[in-house]
Amino acid sequence: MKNFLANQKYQIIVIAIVYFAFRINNAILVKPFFDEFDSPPYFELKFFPSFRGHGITIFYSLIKNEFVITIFQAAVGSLAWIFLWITILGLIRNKILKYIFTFLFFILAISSVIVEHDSALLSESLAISSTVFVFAAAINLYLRENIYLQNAILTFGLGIIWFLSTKSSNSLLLPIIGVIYLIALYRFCSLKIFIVMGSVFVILGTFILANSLSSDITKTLTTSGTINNRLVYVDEWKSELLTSGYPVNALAIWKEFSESNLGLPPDQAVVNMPEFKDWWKDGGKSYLTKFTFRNPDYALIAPVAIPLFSQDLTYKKTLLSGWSQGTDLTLEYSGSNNSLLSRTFYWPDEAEKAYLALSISLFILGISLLMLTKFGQAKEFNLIILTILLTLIWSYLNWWFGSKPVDMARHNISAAIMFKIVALFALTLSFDKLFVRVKKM
Amino acid sequence: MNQTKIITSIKYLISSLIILSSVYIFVQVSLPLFDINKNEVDKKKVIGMTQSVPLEFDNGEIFWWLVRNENILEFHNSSDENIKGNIVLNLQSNPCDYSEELEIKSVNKVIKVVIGAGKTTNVVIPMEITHRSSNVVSVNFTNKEPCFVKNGDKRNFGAKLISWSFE
Repeated sequence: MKNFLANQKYQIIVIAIVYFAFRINNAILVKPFFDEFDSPPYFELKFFPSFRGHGITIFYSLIKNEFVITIFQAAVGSLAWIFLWITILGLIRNKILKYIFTFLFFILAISSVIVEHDSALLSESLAISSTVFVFAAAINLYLRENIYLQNAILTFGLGIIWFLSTKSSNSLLLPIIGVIYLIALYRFCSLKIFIVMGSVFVILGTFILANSLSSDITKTLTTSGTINNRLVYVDEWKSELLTSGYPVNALAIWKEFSESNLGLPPDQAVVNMPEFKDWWKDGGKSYLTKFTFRNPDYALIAPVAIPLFSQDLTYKKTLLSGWSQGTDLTLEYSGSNNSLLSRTFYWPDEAEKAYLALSISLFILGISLLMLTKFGQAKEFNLIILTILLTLIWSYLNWWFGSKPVDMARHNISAAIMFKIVALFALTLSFDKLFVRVKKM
Repeated sequence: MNQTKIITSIKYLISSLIILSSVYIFVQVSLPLFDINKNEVDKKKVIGMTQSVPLEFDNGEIFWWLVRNENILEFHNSSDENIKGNIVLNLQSNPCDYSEELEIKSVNKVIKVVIGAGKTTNVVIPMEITHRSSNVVSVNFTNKEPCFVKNGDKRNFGAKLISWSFE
């Protein structure tokens, strides 16, 4: 028994099994969460155009049973996290650091903010899993030595396709992530493989992107919500809005329906107005996009610091809120009563502490990057920065076109998780390099 | 300066910018919220009340008749922030038209109030409610004189709570 536990291979197997069992068990204990508005379209498999991504609808429409779907999500999620853990573990040379990393990694991986989505019949669970999987596949391809290169590049490609197909906002990253993949293919594979795999990737990726751009079912609601939650608070933005022909009485309707329950959510009440429909036809449809391009301060600064534009706006309406707090189904949904999950120290519940945790994550990330630069770890630095850059772009796209304050946390959950993972990853790598240098001295 | 040095300098710059952004978040976003008087959420929208007496309507306006036995008002903070403020209860005297003496107990505080006959009184109860939790306020009538009406309603009436707010 002693030998068994001392053997690193067996330790990995035991930890992986325990984690897998924990997530499955939690999915069994929690009643599946079904959102009346958002969940039904995930069960409808349509070829084109499809309102929801095929990376979700294929599985939901095939499995059909809500309970089995939650088990499936838990299984896929745990495998993705185990893949990431093993991949990073393969890079660490210091034995003690391996144990510390494993402990910190699994505290994050069992936190409610991540695992609770297994029980929700929405896209978040598979979207988080696909993000984690792509990151692991990227590390595997770019940083690990002695791996089967063709398997690694195939895994990376499949991971990207899966990632793109889980959420509309993910698919918008295709132009950047697609180029990265094609460069990797060109660099690591023969010309024949580059042409075959590259073509398949481009066709699939373009189809996924075209599919997400084909539907604007929620666009009116999103535009109405964004206008009334942000633009009307800043005089300059409000005046530009009204000049575009946006109905003045829509502002009063929003206020009226926000102050008391009149049977409709305020964004829906505004969208139902004939004047709003006229404005929509006369250019309102593309108003938000054009406004974002015309106002670089709104586009670049407001997503992270909107209170700088108006004292009536708070950081709750920025990405910082989305990146810091995560979601809270275990507290808000009664079906989670039996859940074993807790937020853990990564995700304090109170806003001020959650922002502090985000600040600490970024501080750790910055210090670790300084260390990696000092130690000449270019590949590690580049991969981390590229991941952060993609996470930022993804979040900004979400904020510009989708995330109202009520869904800031849910829409940015993948980014919130990535900030924690990347900080932990960078810290572990930099300390590993530091220990190697100290040993050599 | 050669290319390697330029690239290294850029890397140091990016790392420093990330550290600076973390300091900005700490100083500008996190730190101010440690002051309980500052909130991101609108206090008025996140505090709700449940009560031990039924909700009633008069010409479309809501109200609650508080009765002579103990009345429990529970104020719940549904937000993720600790909130400090004042509960304001707008009370009217009983239907028997005599003045009422009330004892309002909240966390560590007892407030004594008199509502004059036929008058409306605002009672302000200072309160601090931690995130996602509730504070209970009990309202007791200390004068012994009963107040019954002759329409078959068997309640022993105290004061009428015509509105409340959190400010």
